[in-house]
Amino acid sequence: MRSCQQTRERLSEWLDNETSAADATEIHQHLRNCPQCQQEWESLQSLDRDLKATLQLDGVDERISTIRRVAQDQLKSRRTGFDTISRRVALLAALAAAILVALFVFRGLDHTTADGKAGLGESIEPMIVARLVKATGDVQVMNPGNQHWDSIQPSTLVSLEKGARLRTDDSVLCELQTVDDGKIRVDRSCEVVFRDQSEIELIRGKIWCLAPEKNSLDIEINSSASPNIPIATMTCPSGSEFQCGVQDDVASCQSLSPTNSKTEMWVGSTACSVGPGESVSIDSKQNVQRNPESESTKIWQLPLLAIHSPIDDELRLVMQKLLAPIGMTKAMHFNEQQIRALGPAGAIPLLAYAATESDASHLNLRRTAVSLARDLADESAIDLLTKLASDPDASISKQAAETLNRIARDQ
Amino acid sequence: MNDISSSSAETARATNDSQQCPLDIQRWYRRVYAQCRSRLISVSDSEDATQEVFVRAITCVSELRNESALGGWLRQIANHVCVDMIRRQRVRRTDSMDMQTVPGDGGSHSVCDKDQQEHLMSLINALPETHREIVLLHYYEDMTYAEIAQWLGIARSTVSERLNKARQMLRSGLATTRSTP
Repeated sequence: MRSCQQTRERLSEWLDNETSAADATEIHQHLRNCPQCQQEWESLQSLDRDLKATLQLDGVDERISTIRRVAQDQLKSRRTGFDTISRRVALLAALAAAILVALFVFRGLDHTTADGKAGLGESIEPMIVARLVKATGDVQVMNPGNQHWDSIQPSTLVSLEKGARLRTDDSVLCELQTVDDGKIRVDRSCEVVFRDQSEIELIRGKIWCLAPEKNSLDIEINSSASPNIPIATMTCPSGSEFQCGVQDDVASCQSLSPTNSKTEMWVGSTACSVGPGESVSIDSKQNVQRNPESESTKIWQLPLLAIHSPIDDELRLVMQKLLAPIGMTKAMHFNEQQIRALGPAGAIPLLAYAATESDASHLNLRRTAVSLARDLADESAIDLLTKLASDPDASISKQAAETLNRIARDQ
Repeated sequence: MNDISSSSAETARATNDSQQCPLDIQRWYRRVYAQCRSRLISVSDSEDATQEVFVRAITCVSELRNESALGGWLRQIANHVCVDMIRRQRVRRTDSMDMQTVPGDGGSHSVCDKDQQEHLMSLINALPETHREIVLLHYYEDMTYAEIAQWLGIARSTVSERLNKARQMLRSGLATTRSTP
């Protein structure tokens, strides 16, 4: 015989016909002999009736037809819009051409002015959601509706249509700007889809993003194993700085700035909060791991900033912040390690900073930058080093010259 | 209605569907609505959100490479739409309720019933979101525990526990208010 407690635990299941036959018999027997549980059962049944009466969903059919209509309209304007317009244009062009030809033939003139270009340039403007700002090499882009990748040279500033895919190989980094001024930097071996101006899907690799001041940025992190079910989705609140990545079906998200707003990573319907400075990772089985203080792994994006000279204010600020404490405190030994971990790529922003910083009060930082770069630089840094070898500061020019010699020896 | 006419009507509707829309909205509407409703609380916001989910899904369904993933995909879109809504409008999640919540004027309910139903609705709205969604799925669509478990990606036993717990919470909520007239 079951206890009252055990029976009551199963009443809800029993009500829904979800108990096994054996359980059902036991519950039934218990209720016959136990007035308290019987009362409990009646109260539950009464609640069930109330819930049934309260939770009726009316008008579903009407709402479904509305959805069909709205979706049809959208599909029409998207897909057949071009067809209809081009068909009309083609018809008009054909008509115009026929009239022209008839006129010319009739008048015995030649046809040099006949307009064969009618209809071109009439296609619907694709919606631009982002553009490529800089890249360290060729970037591959697949436009919506295409099946092939186009190789984009870093010198061309490409606009990306809504739905465009972008990928980088194992040597290229790039930076993009969304139409509402969000910044996205794409790491090596990475693939992203620009679903909309504030919606990005990350398929492979790591991205860094700075959400625009006015809008937030949605990021969906996908697993390559089951591309249709994202591992996680998250929203970067306006003005905040995040880094997201996916590797081996583990999605990770780091809130990089202490001034970031708190946000959530969603896995199905479960929310997992990400506070400022925190880093959270979730695998496809929804196991969550969190670190309160994220390591400053955003340094990988630095080389990217130094592509164009003069370097921008952002890099100048970041470099100042990173370099200023080096050699001053032991804790900041960490910055140095991080920069050194970048290898030759890390030398570029350091040297670009040293070569372009003109404020005399930052001489010490420039010296630190050059001495750090001394061990890291390879032939990719020769141009910057040559410039620095004629620097007015004796210490900087000497170190630069020594580094150039070392690179020549290595080669 | 006889069998033949009803089945031919269904076939007609099905063909119509497949021509117009590659997605069987009828099959998914209630559960997506339950998801939005459990997040957004407000009826009109939930209706708008559900509509948005299906419109997005229909216009992008060609991107879906694996049809068996349709459910998870819809759920994810719904999640997106709700997050968007909460963010954009700071949705009235705390609103007690819209008046349409309770199927009114049906004639079968007295005014008193209607008050009671509104009260019950406010208790449902006060449940934890995970519990509320299961209650809504169970009553809106009459889904079995196994179906709910599959849709939410949780264990069947969790569904059973949460539904049981939700009912207990609702009953104690009703009991408290009844004892204090």
